[in-house]
Amino acid sequence: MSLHHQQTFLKIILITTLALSGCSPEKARSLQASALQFRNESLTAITAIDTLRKRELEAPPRTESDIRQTFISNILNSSIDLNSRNIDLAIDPYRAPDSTEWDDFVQDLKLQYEQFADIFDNLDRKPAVSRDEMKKAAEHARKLTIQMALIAKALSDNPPILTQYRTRTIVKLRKVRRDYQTLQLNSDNNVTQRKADLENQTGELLNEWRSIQQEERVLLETTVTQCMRAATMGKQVIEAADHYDDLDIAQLNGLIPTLFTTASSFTGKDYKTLQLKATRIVNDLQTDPLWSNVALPLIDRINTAADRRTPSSRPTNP
Amino acid sequence: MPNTTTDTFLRQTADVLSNLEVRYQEASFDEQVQLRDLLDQAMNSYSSARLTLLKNKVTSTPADIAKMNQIKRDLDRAIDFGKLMAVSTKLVSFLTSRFF
Repeated sequence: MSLHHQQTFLKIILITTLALSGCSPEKARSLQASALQFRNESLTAITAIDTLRKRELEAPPRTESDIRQTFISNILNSSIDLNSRNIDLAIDPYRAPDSTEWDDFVQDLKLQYEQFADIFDNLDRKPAVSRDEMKKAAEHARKLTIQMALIAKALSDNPPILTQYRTRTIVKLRKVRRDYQTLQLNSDNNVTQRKADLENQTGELLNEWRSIQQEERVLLETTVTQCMRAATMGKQVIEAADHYDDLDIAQLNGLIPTLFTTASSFTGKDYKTLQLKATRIVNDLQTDPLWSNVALPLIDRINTAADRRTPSSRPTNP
Repeated sequence: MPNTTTDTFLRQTADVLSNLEVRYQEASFDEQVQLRDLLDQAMNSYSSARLTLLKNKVTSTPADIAKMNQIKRDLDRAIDFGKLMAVSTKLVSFLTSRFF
C-alpha cells in the first residue's frame, strides 16, 4: 500500500471511529463553554447562600468608638476573670458561634461544582470524547442541577431571619416601653415632652423593624433567584448533553446565548413566580424517572443544611 | 402532612430562645459571660431537636408543649439572674434529654 493510500486509510479509520463514538472534540468543547457558565452561576449561588447564612447570624454593625466604649465599660465594671475568652467576649459579646458543620457543607458544595468543570476541562484535552464520558459528565451535572433547585426550594420554605437585628430592636422597644410606663406613673409636668420623645422613638423603631423585614426579603429573593438561575442553566446543559449525538456544533454553540437569555430572565422582581418555578422544577425532577433516582438522596442532605442554618428564633412554617 | 403538635412545639421553643437572646443582650457583661455557654448550648440543642422532629425520628407530644409552656412562664418570671440561669439550664436539659 502506498503512503498516500495508507494516509487515506488512516483518515477513514479516524473519521469512522469519531462517527461511531458520536463525539467530536469540537462538540465537547462547545458544550464545555456552557458547562463552565453553569459552574460560574452555581458558584455565585453558593456564595449567596453562604452570605445569607452569615447575615442570619451576624450582629448589627457597631462603630469603632462604640466597640471601644463598651469594651472599657465591660472590663472596668466587671468582676470576672480576665482571660482570653472573656476579653474576646468583652470586645464582641454578640459574635455568632462558629459552625464547622456549615463551613464543611459550603466547601463541599464549591468543590463539587469545581470538579464538574474539571471533567469538561479533561474532555477538552482529549482528541476524541466517548459517548460514555459525555454520559458520565451529564450524570454529574444532573446531580448538581437538582441540588441547586432543592436549595432554592429549601430556602424558599425556610426564609432567612436576621435574628440579632430583630433582637436588638426588641431590646430597644422593651426599654422604650419600660421608660414610657414609668413616666405614666409620674405626675411631673415635664413628662409630656419626654413621653412625646418616647412615642417618636417607638415610631422610628417601627421603621427599623420594617427595614429588617425588607432586608430579609431581599436576601431571600436574591439567593433563590441565583440558585434558580443556576438550576435552569444546568437543566439546559443536561438536555443538550442528553441529545448530544443529535445536535450539531452550530446547535451546541447556540446554547450559550440561550443560557445568557435564561440568566437575564431571572431578575427576582417577580418573586412569587420564581417561587412557583422553584417548586415546579423540584417536582418535575422528583417525578421524572431520569432525575428522581439522583434527586431523592440529595433532598435529605439539603433539608438538613437548611434546617440547621439558623439555630435560634427562626419561626417554623405555620 | 404538617404535624400540628410539632409545629406548635417548635414555634414555642423558638419564642423561648428569642426571649433568652433578648435577656442576654439586656444582661450586664458579667452576666453575659455566665450566660453565653448556656445560650449557645440552647441554640444548638434547639437546632438538633428541630431536625430530629422534622425527620420524624421523635414525635413531640402535648406533654412536651406543656413543659415548654412552663419553661416560657418561668423565663418570663425570672427577674433575677440566678433564676434566668436556672431556667436556661432547664431548657437545655429538657431539649437534650428529650430529643437526642
